[in-house]
Amino acid sequence: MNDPANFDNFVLNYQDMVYSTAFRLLGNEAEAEDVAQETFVRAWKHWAELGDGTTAGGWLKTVTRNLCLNHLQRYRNRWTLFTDLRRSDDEESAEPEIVAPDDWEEATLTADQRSILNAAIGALPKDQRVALVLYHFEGLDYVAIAEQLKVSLGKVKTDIFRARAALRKKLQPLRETVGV
Amino acid sequence: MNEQEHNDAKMARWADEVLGQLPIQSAPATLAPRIRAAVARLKVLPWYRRPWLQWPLGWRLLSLGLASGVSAAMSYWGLPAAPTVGSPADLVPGYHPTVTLAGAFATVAHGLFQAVSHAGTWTVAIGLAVAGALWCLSLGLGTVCWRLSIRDN
Repeated sequence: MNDPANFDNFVLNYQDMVYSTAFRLLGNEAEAEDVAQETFVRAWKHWAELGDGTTAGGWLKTVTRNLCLNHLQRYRNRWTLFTDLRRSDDEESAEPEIVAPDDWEEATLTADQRSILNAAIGALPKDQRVALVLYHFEGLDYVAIAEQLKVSLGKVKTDIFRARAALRKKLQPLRETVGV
Repeated sequence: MNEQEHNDAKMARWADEVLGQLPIQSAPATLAPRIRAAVARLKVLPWYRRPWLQWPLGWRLLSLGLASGVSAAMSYWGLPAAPTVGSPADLVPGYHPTVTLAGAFATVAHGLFQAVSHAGTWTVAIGLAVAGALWCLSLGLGTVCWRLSIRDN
């Protein structure tokens, strides 16, 4: 596995997973590609330590996630220097009243719905998207997300709740017309 | 479990079910060539500019032994005294250096203190205000430049 000649196969095997993780967290194709490239460059630097490949997937996911969060943190620190300081109180406000999907039946999403859902995830506000992706795609719990993002537990819960509500709202019209 | 928590749990199950159906995104065709090019650039780096773990084994062992030997020698014999460079005694005949480094710092600190105390509170306050304003100005300009450069995001 850790023969340098196998690195190309390694890239081809894992590039979709790495890019997908980066794209969902960053919501931007160019930045996701940059992060994916940096992840694989780091993998090459640690090629000898990646062993027989059994832990390579987990290693790549962790590195990708950390690089994305560092990128977002750096961006947020600079961008919100003067503008977003006043928003902190608003973000801690109570969760919105959203009716839970009582009658949601197990159903397979159509290709259209998957496409709409992907677009809806990308269109979520950054804080909501990152928290949602970390919870539902990366398998982190609320506390771990709050620690990773260095925000309060309440904000994480609110962001994820709002993100789910926004996605559900996006799918609702299709659900009514298609009957899903 | 109150109503809000119940609602939240149901939404979580719904989201898990729906999001679990999304396939992973395909990487763009340009990604693999970009990675190959980046790795190729790294490969042509000489070994001593790569991370230590990628050095040839012989050099790693030699550097480790050398570093250990130097550390051990320094611990055993103590650090050698640094030679004086450009001492005024070499330049000025009859000059006998008596000022130590600590003494030089003390003299500079004393001089600054004297200057500040003679300048008066208002002069010091104005100086600090000007320095603060310049700092804010540079921070603001930097932020504006940053925002302009990432406006597309």
